[in-house]
Amino acid sequence: MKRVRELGGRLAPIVAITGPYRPMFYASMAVGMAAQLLQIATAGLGAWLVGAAISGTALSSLTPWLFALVIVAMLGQACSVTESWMVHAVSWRSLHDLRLTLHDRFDELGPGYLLERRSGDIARVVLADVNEIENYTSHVLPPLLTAVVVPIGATAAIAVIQPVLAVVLLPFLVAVATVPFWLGRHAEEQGRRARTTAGALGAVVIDAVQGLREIVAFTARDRALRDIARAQDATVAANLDHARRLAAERTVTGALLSTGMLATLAVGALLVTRGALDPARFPAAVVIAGAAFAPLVALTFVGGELQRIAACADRVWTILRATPPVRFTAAPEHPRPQPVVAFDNVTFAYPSSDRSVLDGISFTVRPGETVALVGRSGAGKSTCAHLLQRFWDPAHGSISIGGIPLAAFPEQQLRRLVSSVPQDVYLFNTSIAANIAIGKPDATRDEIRVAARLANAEAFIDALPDGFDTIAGERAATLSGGQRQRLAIARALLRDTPIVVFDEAVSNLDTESEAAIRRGLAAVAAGRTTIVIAHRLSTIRRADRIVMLDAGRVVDTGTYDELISGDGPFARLVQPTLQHESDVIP
Amino acid sequence: MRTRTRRIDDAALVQPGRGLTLRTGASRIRLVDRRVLALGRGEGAVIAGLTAIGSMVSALFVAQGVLVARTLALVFDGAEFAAVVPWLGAIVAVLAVRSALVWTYQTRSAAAAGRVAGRLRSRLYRQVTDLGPGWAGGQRSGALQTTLVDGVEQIESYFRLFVAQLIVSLLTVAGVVAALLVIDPLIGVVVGVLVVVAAAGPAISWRFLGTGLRHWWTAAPALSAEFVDSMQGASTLKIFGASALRGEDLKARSADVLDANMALNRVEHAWLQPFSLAGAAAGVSAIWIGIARLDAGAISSTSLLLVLLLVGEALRPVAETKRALHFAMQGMGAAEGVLEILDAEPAAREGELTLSHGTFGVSDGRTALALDGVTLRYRPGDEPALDRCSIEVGAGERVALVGPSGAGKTTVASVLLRFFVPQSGSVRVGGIDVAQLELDSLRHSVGLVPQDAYLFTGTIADNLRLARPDASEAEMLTALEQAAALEIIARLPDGLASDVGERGNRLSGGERQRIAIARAFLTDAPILVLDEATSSVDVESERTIQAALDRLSVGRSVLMIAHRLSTVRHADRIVVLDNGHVLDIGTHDDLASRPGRYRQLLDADQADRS
Repeated sequence: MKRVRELGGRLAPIVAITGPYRPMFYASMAVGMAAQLLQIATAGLGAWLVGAAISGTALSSLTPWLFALVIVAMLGQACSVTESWMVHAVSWRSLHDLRLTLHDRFDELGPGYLLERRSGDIARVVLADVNEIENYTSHVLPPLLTAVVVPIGATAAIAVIQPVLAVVLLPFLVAVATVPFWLGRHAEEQGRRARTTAGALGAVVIDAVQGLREIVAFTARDRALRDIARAQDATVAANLDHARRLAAERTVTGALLSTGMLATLAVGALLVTRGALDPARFPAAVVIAGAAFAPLVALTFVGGELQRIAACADRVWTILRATPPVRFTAAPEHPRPQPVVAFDNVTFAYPSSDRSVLDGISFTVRPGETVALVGRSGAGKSTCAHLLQRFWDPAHGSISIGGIPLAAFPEQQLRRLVSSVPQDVYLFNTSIAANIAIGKPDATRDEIRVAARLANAEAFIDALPDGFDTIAGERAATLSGGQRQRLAIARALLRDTPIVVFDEAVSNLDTESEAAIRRGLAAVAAGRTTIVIAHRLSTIRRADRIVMLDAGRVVDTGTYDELISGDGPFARLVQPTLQHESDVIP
Repeated sequence: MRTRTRRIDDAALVQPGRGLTLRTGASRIRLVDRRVLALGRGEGAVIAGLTAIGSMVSALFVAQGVLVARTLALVFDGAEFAAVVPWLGAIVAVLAVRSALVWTYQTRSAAAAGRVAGRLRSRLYRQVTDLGPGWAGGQRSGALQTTLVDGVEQIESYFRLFVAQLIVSLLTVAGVVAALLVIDPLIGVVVGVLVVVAAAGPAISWRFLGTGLRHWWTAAPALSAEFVDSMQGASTLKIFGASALRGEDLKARSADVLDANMALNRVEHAWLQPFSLAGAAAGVSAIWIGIARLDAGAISSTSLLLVLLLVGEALRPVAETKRALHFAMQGMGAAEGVLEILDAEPAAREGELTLSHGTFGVSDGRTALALDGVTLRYRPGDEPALDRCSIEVGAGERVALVGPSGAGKTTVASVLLRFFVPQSGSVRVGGIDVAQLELDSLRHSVGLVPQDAYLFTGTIADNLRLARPDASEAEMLTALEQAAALEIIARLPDGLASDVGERGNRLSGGERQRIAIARAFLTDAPILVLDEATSSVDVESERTIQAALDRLSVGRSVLMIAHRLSTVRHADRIVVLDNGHVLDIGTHDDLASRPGRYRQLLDADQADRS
């Protein structure tokens, strides 16, 4: 029972998403209940009429009741269809609201929240989960309700006919209702095994599809087929266990239902022969006993569904209830702050860990200056960039623009002050032009073209099948990492913020892309306050100043010439690169 | 040619509402389609067996009805309880047998459906490998995986929950209606007609949903795509202050879907209403007519009781089929993807000739491989990816391909391995046109070291044995040593048996590259295609990898796809490619000394670094 209560607790909030449609939702439940009760009444009334006719009641005196039977039966069906219509209407409306709520929520949670998770996975999961909730309100909850209402109504009806029969039926009723609990003890474990093996099968198939080139090139098809077959067999075995248990549940349930009806028949017959039951009412009792417990069978179907839906609901609630890492002020905007960026004794640890990533960092970037942030991976370079965009707030110390702390800027103003060119560029599934204009939706085609030209992206965009109108993400537009970054540069140029954070790609790009991006960076940096997270000597040399980080502290700062001539941390860092006549620093 | 985009496949996301079974409406496939049924080929006997068991279950339900009617009739006739007992005993027997049959049906159908899924998946994967990576690269990313994983499951449900159920239902309805006809023709005809009408409702209602369905089919995938896109790009939207605008878009798309859903909901339920009333009418009219006939003395009281108990049995299959229909719809949706794969024509056909490694004597100066006037368009109407492209690699020669990204360098490798078949021109390996070669033989002769080598989930040894299934431990260790990869397994806890993780993610890019080189050593193919890595490789491993590749190239004919100019100097010849054309061919010194594209690239590189 504890498990049931716990499950109920996880599912209860789903009803809350019906929000403003709650009255209609409850109304649909009421109509559904009416439909069920009318259907019992139809069965009972029909059987009673047959009994009465056989007992010798004349057709003429039964006629009004026959009309009543027609009305009750039709009303029952009408209610049933109406309920289905209402419950779907509520579900679709609620889903629409939920999708919008989730979008707003994602926006509110912001990059800080998403960066710590894999947003692609979240998105996919959430969308599937949202749809699953429709399944709950439209297809799981109504049968559950029916399973409760109908047996109670039916037992009451039989009690009216003859109380002893109700007493006979009761144990069967209880037995059927509890079958899933005593036969389903292994259900959860079996379900888990079925899911695990199915997951493993999926992984093997995905591996074989994604590695298709290798499989074909190494003529290893038979091996792949063998692996798939092995995973498949495991799934089938797990599913069979599951199916056997389910079969047992259904068999036992079915047998119990029929035995209940049989007991009613036997005891009823005995009562009739003893004169304790009017034979005219006898068929009604048997028919109600035989048909009315059928909804309980639904319990064996919905048991597993409930677990799955609860898991879906959990994931959706996790997002709806998550706390945003930062909250923005509603204060008015500051008039024209100077594009000076200052980190003052900033200390920061990610919410998911205790380890400080930044440990008392201070540096300043003056208007129009380009500063290269240098250091090994994990030194804290990207974190500085994220904090400047206020994905999170520092634990201690402060970051300011033009002397005003970041927290004092309303969000939109901060976004107009700082933009970024990330390493891992996300392209939306729209045209290349729309992708470039993401930060300036009203940009003209000429403006977009100029930005693309400055970012060295115009030529390759023109070479795409539909030029600037090519949809990014479709086959024709499978762009290389270097090309994507050039689009991001064009975005930043068009957005035209006074401060730009540029995250240089770590990976080796082809020679041409490297050169193109370097020229693009120069275009971005011209006249802007620029922070470059730099991995290449050629980029570092071009910066006005270098700030070297190590383990969350500033360990070296100065111009390239100053630092390289000394024996400081920076000189030691780049020494091997210089020796190998390479460009990428480790 | 795997796509690098991060767009998520729509098909994986679109889950039509379960009550509104929508897929079939927009699908060209019918509910019971011969081509879909053919997917269960080989299971015909099992499905027939299941149908037989299912029909027996139904027959026993009818038998129960008859026995109950008989018992009730006895009681009405004033029989003693003792006279009723044998009938009750018969009902118990019916119950016991039926329970056993239900159990058998449930377990057997699960097993049969599992086999259908297993066979189908193997068949699909076999076909996918025949179609090859070239074809797969042209599919929407993720669509193949969705079909092979989820699609096959849905077909399984179709067979497990729909096919046999449909036949059993039809037989049961026919049986019960026949029984009613025997009892009383009028009742039989009326119930028969009304049950058919009730059953037809759900099956034909989607035909009337036409416009609504088309609406939904455009609106729902658009919403899915946009929703996922917005969430994946949430950070970008935020940074560029574009969330609000995008939110409006999303709202409009979601509202489109809502409208479509609501319209379908209205239309579908309006259509269902009369049909479901027909179902209710069947039971009511049977009772009414029955009572009237009894009153007229046309039927006995036992017959009336039979009518009362059997009418329900005629309606039960209708309800069960309605439930099963849901799985059928899903199966239909999946079937389209499945049939699309099975119907696709592999571009590369098997030839008959085989190559022996002896064909490529390094010393005799023959041509190892040659592209001769090759033109390839990925799709008809596209700009050619290769345009009358001719390249030759002599036996033992090392040729580098250079050119900007998109020049067609990787396409050359794909054409060589026959992942794509060019529209014109010929490709020869060892002097033989590849069209005449057995594909396996071709691929044994041409080793590939791709720039983004794919490692499979499993151990290092598993991944090496991909190249040579019978490789001994000693052979694997030698290959790893030559590939400068021994230190990788030295670092790992279980040596060769160490798990590389999903897609090899426990190894760095450079390490994966070296495993791929070790594979090439094991394959020991006389011809090599090296696609230089542009992925994250640090300076040290760049050097180690270069040395390993130099060792690998010894005694082989090598086509090297170079993305960085620094690595091509030592090639015997350099082919400069641009826009699918060969612009120039020569040694580094040749090309560097004369004006041309190569010099331009070289100069740009120099200027940029200083």
